[in-house]
Amino acid sequence: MFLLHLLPDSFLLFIVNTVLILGISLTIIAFFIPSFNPIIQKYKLLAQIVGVLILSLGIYWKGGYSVEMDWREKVRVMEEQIKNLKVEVDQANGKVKTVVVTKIQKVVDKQVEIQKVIEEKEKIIDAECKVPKEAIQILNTAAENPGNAPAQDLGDKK
Amino acid sequence: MKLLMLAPVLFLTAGCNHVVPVKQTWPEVPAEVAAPCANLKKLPEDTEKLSEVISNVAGNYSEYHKCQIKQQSWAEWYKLQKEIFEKINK
Repeated sequence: MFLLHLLPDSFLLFIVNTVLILGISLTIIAFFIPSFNPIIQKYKLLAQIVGVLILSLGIYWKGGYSVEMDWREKVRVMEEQIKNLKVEVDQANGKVKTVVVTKIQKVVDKQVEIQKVIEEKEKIIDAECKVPKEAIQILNTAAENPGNAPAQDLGDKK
Repeated sequence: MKLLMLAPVLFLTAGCNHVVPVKQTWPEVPAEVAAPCANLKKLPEDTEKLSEVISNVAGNYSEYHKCQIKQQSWAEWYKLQKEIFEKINK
């Protein structure tokens, strides 16, 4: 019932109930209440047909209106749930962000300490060792990601 | 007879039920978690000192640890968001 969205709910309910009541009234009058008026008696069949049609329409609209209102309520409830859960989403994001930042800071701090130690012990470390070029080449090749960049040639293997 | 012409108009109002879907958007991942991992650092070709090699290796270990933290956080974030998403869609 796409046209239902264009009208206010109270007005819609008024129209639906009016048609239903009109249909019920006309049907009862046309079928069950004997009429002594010859003019009404003349149009009895027409009144019965119209009464039934209006009653059918009223029942159909009433059903459709009820279904529409049910769906609107479901949509409203779900939107409310989503709104409430947004708070949980933001909290989860904040928690993860805090954990990541804290842990990475610890890694950075440790790296700084290690670099200090290397600088302190540099002379001892370098005293009796000269690193060959082949070792540097191997390390650099290992540092490359084969999924991202082309592999470097290792050179002559001994 | 003229009234019968109104019948199609009346049936227009009793068309298909139109349900407005409720849109639930997937949340944005925090930038700290989504940032890509850095590439490993290489040594200059003319490096001879072992201390420089150790420094480079220690730096690369550090990059790996950061990447590991990001990957674990990503998995944790996804798990949390999935639980929240499934609460609505039960």
